[in-house]
Amino acid sequence: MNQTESKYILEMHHISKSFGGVSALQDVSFKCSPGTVHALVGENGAGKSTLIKILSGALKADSGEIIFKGKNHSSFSTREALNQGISVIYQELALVLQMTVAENIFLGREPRNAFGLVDQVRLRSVAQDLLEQLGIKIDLDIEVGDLSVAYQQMIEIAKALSKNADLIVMDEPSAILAGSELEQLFKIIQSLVKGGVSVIYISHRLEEVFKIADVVSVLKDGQLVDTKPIKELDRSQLVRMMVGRSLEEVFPVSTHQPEDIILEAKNISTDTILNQVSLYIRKGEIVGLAGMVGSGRTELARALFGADMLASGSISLKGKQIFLNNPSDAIKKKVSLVPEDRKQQGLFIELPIRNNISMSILRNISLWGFLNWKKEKEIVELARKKHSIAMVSGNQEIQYLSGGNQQKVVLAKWLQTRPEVIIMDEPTRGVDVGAKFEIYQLMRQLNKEGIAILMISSELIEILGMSDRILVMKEGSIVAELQSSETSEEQIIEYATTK
Amino acid sequence: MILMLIGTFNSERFLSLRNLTNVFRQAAYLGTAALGEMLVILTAGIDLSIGSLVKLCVLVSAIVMDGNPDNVWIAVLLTLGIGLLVGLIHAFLINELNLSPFVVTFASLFILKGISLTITTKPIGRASRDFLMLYSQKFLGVPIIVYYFIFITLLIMFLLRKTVFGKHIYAIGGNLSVAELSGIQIKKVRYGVYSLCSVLAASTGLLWLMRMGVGDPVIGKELELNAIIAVVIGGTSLFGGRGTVTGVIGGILLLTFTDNLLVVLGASQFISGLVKGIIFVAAVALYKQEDRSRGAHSGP
Amino acid sequence: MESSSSGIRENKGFRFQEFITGYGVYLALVILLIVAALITPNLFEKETLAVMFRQCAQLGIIAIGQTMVMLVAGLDLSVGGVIVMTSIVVAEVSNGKDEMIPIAILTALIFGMLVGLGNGLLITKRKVPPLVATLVMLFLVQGAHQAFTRGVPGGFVPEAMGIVNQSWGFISIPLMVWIGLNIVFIVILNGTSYGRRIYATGSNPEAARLTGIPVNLIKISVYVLASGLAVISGVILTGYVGYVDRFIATGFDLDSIAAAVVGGTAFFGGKGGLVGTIAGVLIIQILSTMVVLIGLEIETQFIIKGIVILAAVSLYGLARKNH
Repeated sequence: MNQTESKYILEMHHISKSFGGVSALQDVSFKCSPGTVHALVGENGAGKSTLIKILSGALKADSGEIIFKGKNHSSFSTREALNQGISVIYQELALVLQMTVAENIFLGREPRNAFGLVDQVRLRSVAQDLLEQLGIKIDLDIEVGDLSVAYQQMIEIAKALSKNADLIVMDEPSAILAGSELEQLFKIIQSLVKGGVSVIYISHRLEEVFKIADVVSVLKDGQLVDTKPIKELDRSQLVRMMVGRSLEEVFPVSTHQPEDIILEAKNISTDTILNQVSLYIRKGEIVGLAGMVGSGRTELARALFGADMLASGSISLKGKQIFLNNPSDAIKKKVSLVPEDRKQQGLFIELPIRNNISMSILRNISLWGFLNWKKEKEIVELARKKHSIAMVSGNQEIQYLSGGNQQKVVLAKWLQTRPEVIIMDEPTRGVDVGAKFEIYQLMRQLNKEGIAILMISSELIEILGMSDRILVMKEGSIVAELQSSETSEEQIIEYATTK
Repeated sequence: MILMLIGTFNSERFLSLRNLTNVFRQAAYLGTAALGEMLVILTAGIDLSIGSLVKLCVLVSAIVMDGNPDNVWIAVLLTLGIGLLVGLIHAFLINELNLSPFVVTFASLFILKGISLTITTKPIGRASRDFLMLYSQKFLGVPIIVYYFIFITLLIMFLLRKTVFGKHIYAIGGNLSVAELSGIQIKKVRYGVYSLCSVLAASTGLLWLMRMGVGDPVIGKELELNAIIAVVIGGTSLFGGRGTVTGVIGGILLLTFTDNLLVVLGASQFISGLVKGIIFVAAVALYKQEDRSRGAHSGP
Repeated sequence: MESSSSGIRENKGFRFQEFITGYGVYLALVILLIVAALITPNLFEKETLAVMFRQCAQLGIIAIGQTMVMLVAGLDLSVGGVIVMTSIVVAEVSNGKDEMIPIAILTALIFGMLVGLGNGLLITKRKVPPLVATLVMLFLVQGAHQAFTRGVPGGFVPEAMGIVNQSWGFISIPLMVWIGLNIVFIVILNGTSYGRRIYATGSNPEAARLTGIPVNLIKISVYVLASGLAVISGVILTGYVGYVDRFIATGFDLDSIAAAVVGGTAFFGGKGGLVGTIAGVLIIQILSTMVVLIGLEIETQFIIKGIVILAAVSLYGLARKNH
């Protein structure tokens, strides 16, 4: 094997990856030099997570190769990656909450003494050193679950440091850090880099990228747009690289004017990140809700649907305040939520299509509790025609349908309750182009009937193409309200990422 | 958990030395098995078969020993070997066939019970005299059996606190996917844990032989449930990842003392079941309130 | 990108797997019957059949409840205790008098449903795993028996209860009750909104909640029903036996679970149904009877049933891997 001293510590060549026919990464080539901070940016769904997972060995690329420290690693396992010196800190913290700080730092790699026992002394002293390096004052014996999320993240960083990694990937490390904590993080990164470690830094906060990174790579729609030293770019250039695209997809035109306000939220806050959110939705309108991952969009949807409790604030429907203690209340008030993850939250995967479609309106198709199968069949048939769902029969189990058709079933289910307000969380995720367009048409149709739609989406094109108004969320609050005709992808990203 | 320990001593009225000795000796029976069960529960698993396993082991050891002092060692080794084998099979099925521990050990409970009862439904076999004597033998006033129990307790404590294996057990129970990502060999740990549990249960079978003198297939009834109750009231979470040996010991002692107290008061077996049930419900209610919700949701 | 909007996933293996999960148990039943005919032809004699069907009914009634509990991803191990409790209550309350029978049965039902309520509450409000919760209830119930009867079963079982022994050929009252209850509950599970909600709760509790289904309420109601059914079975059993016996109910918990599992109901909920359970009950009972007829010791049935459960779960697990 040719161990030529390559200029790069990491090279990823022509990486491609698809999930079930939908392409996540296409021919991405990416090089990282030793001792640098290399930022990776891109909007939601651009492929950053997939790329990182491939790098860490959690996923295998369909094609392409990875060369790390001169060696070819096309089929990593996570263990191998770790041993080679690649360490990833994911956004979803990989900590065992019931174990202590010290234990978590060394999880899986506990130092042993001569007898194969845990060398407590070494464990603690090394852990202590690491924490001091990071400037964190935490008791080593606290259970990690008792710490705030910010501290938990710091423990993760300490963990990565303890692995003597040559390459550390940080996936949104600053998402919950603020002020001085962030400064600390940067100091650590800089000292790491001086020591020859390379850092791949993924973040939505572009000002951080400008502060800490040496080089930046931009991913868009699964492809690498470019890699450039940060000095050569300014903010607007960077944003344009992230989102600039031509409107290839055609969206059905809106023929309807919004009417009166139907749903209004005033200063709602929840335990789940929402902070003093106020908004209103009008009849016949589509309001797009944009924001980065973690900004609180799904939490807002859940709060409006009664799936999460409000800590403060109020929601009014048609002028009257309503109290939603559970989804059942919301449904009665004619509010529906089409959830983000249809497999986990929207469908009963082993049950037949007709069960799924009729689940919210069982009352309508039954008399004294007994189901009227004929009526159900009619409803299913109507839904099939209306949404062009490709299925063999109403008895077919939903797991056998394609993603697009499954989503249609979910929509059909919710439309059965004749809602006046529909909240859609990523309505076209994992759906093919043809079905997407059908869903858009459906949304326009609903608008025409006076139904209000709040649409959460990570596809800015979709938000721009379908919404009348756009709300941008960041860290639990709404930071901007834009008219879709007057704004652009760049502007939305600006709002979503500015500090 | 320590409260439990104190609680037991307060309720104890018959503090005669003889009674105490008996109680502690009695505790060894439940205790050894419960400690083994604890290991499995810590990994978010469960072993429902230990009662039947004990039953089988009592029979096998009695039959093999057959009153002959020369056979003692063979009997002991064979019995422990059976325990080991059963534990390995459990872990194998869980690891390779992806079956849940509940299903595997639930089926095992019946298979082992069936094997035992097929061998015999009446007492059979005999322990050798010197083996029997071990039951009553004491050293410095404390029964040997109690020493054994203390030994096992210290061993498990040591295992859980000081060894890497122990830490991995807690990790797997705490968060399986994180444990996996951290490179912990989940399958190996499972083999270890289920084998240990079964071997400890097998040794409990030997203890019973010491006491009964013959292989009586009646032994082992509800052992698994008692063990689980002891483990839970001692503060171990059924979902894994949390629990201490001291806590479990507290649970074991609480149950044993309760039993003893009730016997002394003249109550019957079922009453003790009732009381244990109540204690369990109380413990669950208390602990669930302590249980933190796992993991913050960081959704889009 | 996906090729078209009409993508029904081509799945070569799916027919076979569907077959196993849908009909495998019936195939197994047929095979078993054939085997039985060869090895123990005396199984098919009138008297044997009569006894066997009665036992099927006994087990089957409990299995209905157990199936429903399993459909919501639960388990009920307290059924044995409930049956004994029924026995005791009936004997005590009626004290031998025929007129008191309805009241006795009613009392037993109330107690039974309280047990079910206890199960349900422990499981939903306190998040105790069903296995542990129902076992603990079992303990409590058994303890209550002892406390109440002080070891000596009191009361007398009224004569009229012997009516359950009425039979014509191998059709007996228990059998009719079983069939009747089956029809009722099959209709409920498949033809009512309540039944749909049960399946939904088991299949995906989170989605069910988001669809407005009161998940906790559904679960609790199922446990209450299961206990109620256990009471009914207990009434029949008491009538048959004629006196109160602590040990009459051994084995029903295992057998009912085995029957449900073999019949295709999964431990994790949402999958399965009563029709399969009927076949499961038959299989289990035939196996038990065969064991006796062949001359094997009764205890071997434990081994057999344990293996059967493992085999059934593994097979269904493999067949369902398509998720």
